[in-house]
Amino acid sequence: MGCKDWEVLLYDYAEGRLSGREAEAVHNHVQQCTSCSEHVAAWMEIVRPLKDESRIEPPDQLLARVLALQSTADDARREQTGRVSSRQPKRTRVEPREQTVTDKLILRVRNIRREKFWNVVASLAAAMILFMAGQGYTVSAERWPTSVAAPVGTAGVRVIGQTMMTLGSVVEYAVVPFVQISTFAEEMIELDPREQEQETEGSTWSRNNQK
Amino acid sequence: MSTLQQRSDEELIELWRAGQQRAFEVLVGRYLTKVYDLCFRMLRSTTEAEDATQETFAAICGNIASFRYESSFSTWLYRVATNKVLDMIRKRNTRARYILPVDEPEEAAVGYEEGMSRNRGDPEATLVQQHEAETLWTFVDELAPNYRIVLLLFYREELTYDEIAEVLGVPKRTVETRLYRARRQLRQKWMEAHEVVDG
Repeated sequence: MGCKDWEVLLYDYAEGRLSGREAEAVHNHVQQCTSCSEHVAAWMEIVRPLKDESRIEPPDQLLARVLALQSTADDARREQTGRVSSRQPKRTRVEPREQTVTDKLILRVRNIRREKFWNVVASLAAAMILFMAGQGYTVSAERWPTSVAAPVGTAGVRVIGQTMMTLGSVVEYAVVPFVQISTFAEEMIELDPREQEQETEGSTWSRNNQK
Repeated sequence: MSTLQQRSDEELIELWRAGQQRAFEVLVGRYLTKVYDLCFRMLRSTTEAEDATQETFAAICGNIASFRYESSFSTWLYRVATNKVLDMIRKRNTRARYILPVDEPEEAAVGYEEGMSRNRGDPEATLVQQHEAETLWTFVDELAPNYRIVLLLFYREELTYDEIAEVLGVPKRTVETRLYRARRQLRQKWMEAHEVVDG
């Protein structure tokens, strides 16, 4: 074991942090090794100021500023507590409200929207594909009438193309308002005005409802 | 019945939460100097040390309600303070690298001297010892912040390896490695300085 291997232990040895056989082994080595002995002596010098208990005192005004933090924290806590207590009656008052037919309808729409979200996305995609395919078919039938339009004839092409495009448009124009209605329902169905305020901060709807 | 001064940190926190303001004052009295000392030795600027200390206690005040005793109060406090100072050093380094040449070195130097001078009242200390101590702290300042903080937490705050690991959010092995490197670099600087002086 060379001096480099002992080095890891020398710091702790110099600071009296080793015990038992480890301390004894290092002690025996240090007794015989001038280099490690000097290392230990040097470290004892170095570490003394590090362990010096004197502290850099903070300025007096810092103490005053830190103590003042508590009152700020208390104010914030009181404000928070006040807000919580004022929030509770609103919830209990609003929750038992009897649902109207409109509420039920809107709830139904919202549930459909949540459950069928991916269906809506898929429908939109299908509408786009249908529309594009219809348009593509019409264009290609006009360009290559002998190969593409031959099996169904020119009139057939027109019917197939137009039907696909119309279907695509119908699906698209039906889905978009559906999404809009669902979003509107989402806003309308919120029964707790405070939650509504958090979600749509600054919205006219929430401001009107809080009055 | 024990006085507030004799209460443990945890007891004081409970009293503070129950609305006893005096408990907070005792906690501040117990830790303000320690936190300021740590911040100052890391930042070397009185202004920044004051800011870091104030921000640390502000964070403690703001989050005391959610403190769940997953670590001791002191470990939590040192963690907040350490994050503040390391963050300030990072920002300062970025600013120095990209915007300003150096972060007011004069202020830092004056602050350092000022801070040290407050503790020079020890009549037993000789001029040589004071000089040695000042030289050593200069070497500590030259260490990388990651090594410096480990050194300070280990020697000044007397935290264990496990506690330091918790404060810094690193494995215990990393703390051991950083402390070893910090000690080694410090010794090398000290040896070099003394060789120059001796030679």
